[in-house]
Amino acid sequence: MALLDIKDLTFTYPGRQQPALKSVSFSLSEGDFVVLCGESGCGKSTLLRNLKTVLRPFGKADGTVYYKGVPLDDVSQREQAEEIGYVLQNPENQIVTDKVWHELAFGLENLGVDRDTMRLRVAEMASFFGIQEWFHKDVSQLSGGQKQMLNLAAIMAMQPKVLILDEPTSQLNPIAASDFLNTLAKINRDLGTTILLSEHRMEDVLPNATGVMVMEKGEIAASADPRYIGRILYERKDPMLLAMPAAMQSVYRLERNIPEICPLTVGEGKKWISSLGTPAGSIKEKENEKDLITAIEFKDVWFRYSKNGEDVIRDLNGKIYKGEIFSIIGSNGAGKSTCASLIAGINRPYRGKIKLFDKVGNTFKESLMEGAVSLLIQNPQSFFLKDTVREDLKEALRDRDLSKEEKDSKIEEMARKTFITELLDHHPYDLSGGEQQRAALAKVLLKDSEILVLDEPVKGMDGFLKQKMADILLALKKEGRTIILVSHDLEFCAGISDRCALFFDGNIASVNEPRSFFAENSFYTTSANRMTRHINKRVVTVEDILDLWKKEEG
Amino acid sequence: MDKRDSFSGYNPLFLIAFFLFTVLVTMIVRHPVLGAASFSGSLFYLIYLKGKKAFSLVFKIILPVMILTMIINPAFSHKGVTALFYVNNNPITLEAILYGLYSAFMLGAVIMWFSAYNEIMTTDKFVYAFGRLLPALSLVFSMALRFIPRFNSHIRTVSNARRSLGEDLEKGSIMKRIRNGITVFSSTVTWALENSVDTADAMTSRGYGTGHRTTYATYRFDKRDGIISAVVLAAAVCVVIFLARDSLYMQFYPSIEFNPITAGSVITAVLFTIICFLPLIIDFQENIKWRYLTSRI
Amino acid sequence: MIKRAIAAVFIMAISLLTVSCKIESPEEHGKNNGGGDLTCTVSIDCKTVLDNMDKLKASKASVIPEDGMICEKTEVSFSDGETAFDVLVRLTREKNIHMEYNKVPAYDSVYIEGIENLYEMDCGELSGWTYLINGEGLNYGCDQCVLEDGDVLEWRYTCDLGRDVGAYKE
Repeated sequence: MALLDIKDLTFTYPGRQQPALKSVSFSLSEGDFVVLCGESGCGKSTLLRNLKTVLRPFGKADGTVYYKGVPLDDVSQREQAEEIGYVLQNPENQIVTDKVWHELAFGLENLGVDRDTMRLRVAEMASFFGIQEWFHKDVSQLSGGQKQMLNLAAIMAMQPKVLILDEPTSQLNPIAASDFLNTLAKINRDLGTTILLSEHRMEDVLPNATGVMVMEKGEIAASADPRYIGRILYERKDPMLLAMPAAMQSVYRLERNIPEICPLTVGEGKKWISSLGTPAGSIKEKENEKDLITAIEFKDVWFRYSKNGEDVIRDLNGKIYKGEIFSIIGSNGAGKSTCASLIAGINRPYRGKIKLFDKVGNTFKESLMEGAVSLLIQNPQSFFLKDTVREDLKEALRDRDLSKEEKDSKIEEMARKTFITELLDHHPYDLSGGEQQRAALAKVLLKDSEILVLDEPVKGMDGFLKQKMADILLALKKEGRTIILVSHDLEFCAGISDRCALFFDGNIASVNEPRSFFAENSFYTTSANRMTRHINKRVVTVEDILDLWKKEEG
Repeated sequence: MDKRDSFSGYNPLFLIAFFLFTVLVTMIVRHPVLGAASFSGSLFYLIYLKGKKAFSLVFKIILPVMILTMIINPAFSHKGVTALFYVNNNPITLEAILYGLYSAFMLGAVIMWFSAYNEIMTTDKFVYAFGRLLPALSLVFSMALRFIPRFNSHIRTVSNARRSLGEDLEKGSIMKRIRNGITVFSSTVTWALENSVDTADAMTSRGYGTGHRTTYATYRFDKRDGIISAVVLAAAVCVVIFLARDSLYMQFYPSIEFNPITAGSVITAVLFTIICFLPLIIDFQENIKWRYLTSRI
Repeated sequence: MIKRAIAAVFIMAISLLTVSCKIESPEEHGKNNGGGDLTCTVSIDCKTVLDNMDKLKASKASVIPEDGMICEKTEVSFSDGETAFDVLVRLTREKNIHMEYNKVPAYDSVYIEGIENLYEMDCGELSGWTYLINGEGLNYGCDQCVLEDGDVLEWRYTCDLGRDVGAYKE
């Protein structure tokens, strides 16, 4: 018998014509690990929230969700709380109490479990998740990845039969995300817990999944084993193929030597690439620009947050040129975000200098430096102060000497550039993560600075939203602005940057244009590069693979 | 300092009762022997707990407060039969000076007990003890402790975001700064309200409100706690009974008088001294035990 | 910060003590009391306490004389313009009797809190020190009451707001 059985579920939000879910039917059996994917706003969250009555949004629902053969409405809240675990997107918001141990016990406390049983379950979960070391810590001392792991452990302590997760890794950096997804796989493998997960990091999750469902405009467009989903998407000419792992993408986009079993991992991809033989095509190389004007220069920069603290930036040197997109990548705590704050002038180095240059290459005077650099910090919500996006954008222009009409037209123009025109009159908190990010960017851009620093601009975005962001950034580059990206997203940086820098231990360990940069790294590089580096080290994206091998026929 | 304090390992309920008792007796009962016991017990325990830091606390805070008390009492209270000298026709009396001296030591002892309390009673111990008494409030308390640092850090993030837009909170006229501050605060409140929806979801989805709640405790009231509680309780009851019968009483005004020394007063003094030095006694006994254990390994 | 604040309070306290205060030893306190060419008779008693021993605080039993007289009738000299307060100060100094007073800023007058360690409210809630001039009670402060030659000044402890010593005025 199926554990969860969804029959003809249709759901319409109040005041909307179009239903958010259109007669969705599927079933989950004991031990399944199903990944739900689809473009942002396709109804993934709505579907997942309908699988637990307390989380069901307001609206009109038709069809039935059966849990163990019983309609969900007839399953008691207590049983649902105990057996259907739910992990939400934002790791911070889900944590209720101040201590790690208390958070682990919170669900059990609510169920009225006696103290000895509680002790045992908490101890078990703490050991399973490797939480012992921070068991007594304050929650506020944990990193984002640890917080989300804690949320998962807190749910697992209740020993649920089904685990539902709504984009749990969207706020995490790639290493923490991959840790989290591996733990999920381990839960599924070792404990047999059924998992339904919406996710866009297909690379990490597909090899362990037992099924994939692709959603499109409120419907399930395709559902298959991970090995066959590629073929279905390929036959449907579905753009979701672009969100799949690099190996799967390459196979079906190249349309050559399509194997019986589709490769999912880098290793499998590598094997398949080798079967293609010597490449006949060539990679498009970017032309080296000449006559570079320096925009920012670091000279022996040292920085620490407190007098007795450790140096966060140590002996940083380097130049960033005008009109380039410069990416800073590196692991957590390497000093990337601190470096961004130094460029923006929020923090000041205690030794060394950061020189800014104006359009023609003269040093900026200290007094004029204000406004020369704009920084988009990580948390876009922190930019919103008003009730509508429009008001917020107006606020950014408050001190500018412009007439009302000029201001309005500026806002309209900026909204168009950042694709938020329809959202101008919404409350900022009603926007989705990607929309908030673009609205915050619009606010920053209204400051009209020559130099833009963006800290994690594509965090939590799926491929389509990333493409939108890339389009915005390339347009800005065309205007001649200098853009500095701080990001964990290697694929994104590789595709868009003029130069990439690896930040390590407070300074730049290596810097180069993307192809040479990733050719030098063997671990810190894109999947496409790892798959093909035994043949051509300069491959960075899937497009490069296509370029290399496609030419042969045509 | 690698000295570990074993006293703080006892059950928080016992610790709270212990501190409450010693501080109350110190504050209510006036007798130099009890005062001296409380003062020296708290001083040595504080030094044991905090090492060098204890000295800076004693010299920077406690000593000045004590000296101030010593000066202020005779300056404002002129009671007492033994006038030493006169200030503006009001007598400065020996009794008032001695009372000031006594109050200074009492105040010092109370401050030191409180700093020792602060050192050992971490918030989760407090929440535990609180939760045993008022379970519903302890969750609220724990949620508040989660919320406050989050709120503060978001305020910092927002002001950083403002600064990155060139709106520095620390620059501009006072009015501008106030306006900026209000905007930041109100937006943080909005943020907190918006995000609390998620928290509420996370709570209900984990079964909050589905029925009877129990509380998890990282502390257990074990045999060791039972024994120490029983011993201290017995001693405390003795002390209270003898004190209620005034067997240890000192009069400061109008003249200094003691009650005669009786068997009861001696027992009270000895028991209270033992209670005040209990943390140190336990620590030393534990240290000796360890040395013994490690020497056998 | 704390250190500085404490230091500041210290310096203020010490300078207040030394600058604004007249400090004397008990011997000095008894001498050089001044005086004048006029005389009055002064007595201090707490006889009412004897009738209210049940209300008296236990610690104060030792300060009550057997007959209730703290100071028998004594002639005290004073000069023109001096008040009942000045004369009380002179007498208690000469006899080395303990006395504590308090300046009440609200009324700009002096209030006698205790004599010989017998304080207000030591014998019931309505007890305290009051004074009579020639057998008559006055309802203003003793430092406002200018004496005349030959006046009889009685300082009496009342246990009933002055009614029991005949100083109560409607």
